Amino acid sequence: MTAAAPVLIGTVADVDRHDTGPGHPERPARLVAVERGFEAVRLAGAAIPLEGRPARFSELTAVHGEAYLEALAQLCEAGGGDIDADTRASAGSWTTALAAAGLGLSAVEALRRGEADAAFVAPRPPGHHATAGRAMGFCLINNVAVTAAALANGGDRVAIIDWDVHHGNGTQDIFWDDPRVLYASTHEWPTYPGTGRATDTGGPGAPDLTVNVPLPAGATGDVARAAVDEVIGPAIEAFAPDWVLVSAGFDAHRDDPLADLAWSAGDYADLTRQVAALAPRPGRLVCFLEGGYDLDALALSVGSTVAALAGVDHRSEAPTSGGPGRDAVASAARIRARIQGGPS
Amino acid sequence: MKFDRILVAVDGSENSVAAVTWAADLASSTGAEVIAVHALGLLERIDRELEPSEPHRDEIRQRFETEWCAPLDGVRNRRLLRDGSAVPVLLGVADEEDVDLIVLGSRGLGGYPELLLGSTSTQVAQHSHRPVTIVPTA
Repeated sequence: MTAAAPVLIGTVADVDRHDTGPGHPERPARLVAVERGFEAVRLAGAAIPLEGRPARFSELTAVHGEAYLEALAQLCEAGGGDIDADTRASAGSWTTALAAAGLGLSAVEALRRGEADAAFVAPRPPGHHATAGRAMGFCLINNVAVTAAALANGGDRVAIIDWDVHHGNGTQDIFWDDPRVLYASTHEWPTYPGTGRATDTGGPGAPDLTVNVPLPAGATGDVARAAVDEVIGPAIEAFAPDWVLVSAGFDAHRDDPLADLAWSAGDYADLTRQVAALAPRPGRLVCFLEGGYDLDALALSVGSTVAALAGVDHRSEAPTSGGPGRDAVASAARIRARIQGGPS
Repeated sequence: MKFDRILVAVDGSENSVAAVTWAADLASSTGAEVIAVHALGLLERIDRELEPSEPHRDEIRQRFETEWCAPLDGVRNRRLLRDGSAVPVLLGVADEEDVDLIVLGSRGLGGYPELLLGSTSTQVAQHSHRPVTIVPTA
């Protein structure tokens, strides 16, 4: 057996003051579950703790409007409140969000120093619904977008793969017309936030660089693997990124209360291997926690993912297959073929 | 002013009932169609015990279509349940349907009007390029 590859792991658990109130599914206990998942790589001797740093304001303004950021900071300073029916900020949310947004930046810095082959960071609050000027869907700062923007501003090409069960409307919106960043998503359809049609393929400045594969309720892991093999993978290979970032939500798990896909922890291991193969070389892959609200499913799924990053086979649940959705993948593939073939 | 289509935001709150009633009155005097819209957010898919989501989604649809939209029963109307956050959903449907007026309650569920982020009604009023009426609760 070959030795496990080193993986950087980090959360904001130590500084987590983001209080969403009683009964809210996006809760601090999620990071405790993530820590349970990390045991999978700790046991293999592959875990390298990541020393995070808070994001600087100037790193956030690469993605978000200053007026929005100032309003958010002001809301937290005033004690917090409801931003919309789903999304809440508390007094400690601003400092927690800065630490969360800094995790990915720290991971990139450590990977550039050659400290590991991949990184898994667990920011909280999650990020992929946050747009340039709006908090929504439990998200305040778009963590993966902050890291992608920093890389792109440094001259790198970045591919973002988003396998959270919800479409990452914020990330798509931020990079819609940006030729330096490819955004690819699998997500349940229809469900929140109502975006992510397969026909949404990018703005005039970034044609074909948005890749959406909407999946029906009940879709199993084999459908997700096909989406990567047949649609997302070829698009990323053609784009030839310098970095691959993953919006790794775990709410497509069959036990998640917020959605209706039917994946298992084992599916995340397989998806991770597929995605890792799309990175140009070791040390150019960072996974970011997004959603995932069943704590046991989250722990198992994170465990499978970080183990796969380390090259360790750790699947506490068997991969799934047989659900609906192959036609949705074929349809997304046809849409991309039509685009690449030009007008017909 | 001619009213062909009036969008009204519906979230089941007391203020939203006032807005739906006001929109129904305007529609009955102008002959306009009312398009009632409810944005189904993330938390509405569950109850606070984190129970499975689909039955709850059906329950929300049922309440939206029968209870919350009841004042529309006498006028021409459509009832649209859309996934998403309220402000982008309302502005999006307003554009899709090319409505002449958007009607909202003064303070629905969510929002923080004292700060810039604003409640649903203040944000829609700020960002809409169509006339907006904000209806206070009586």
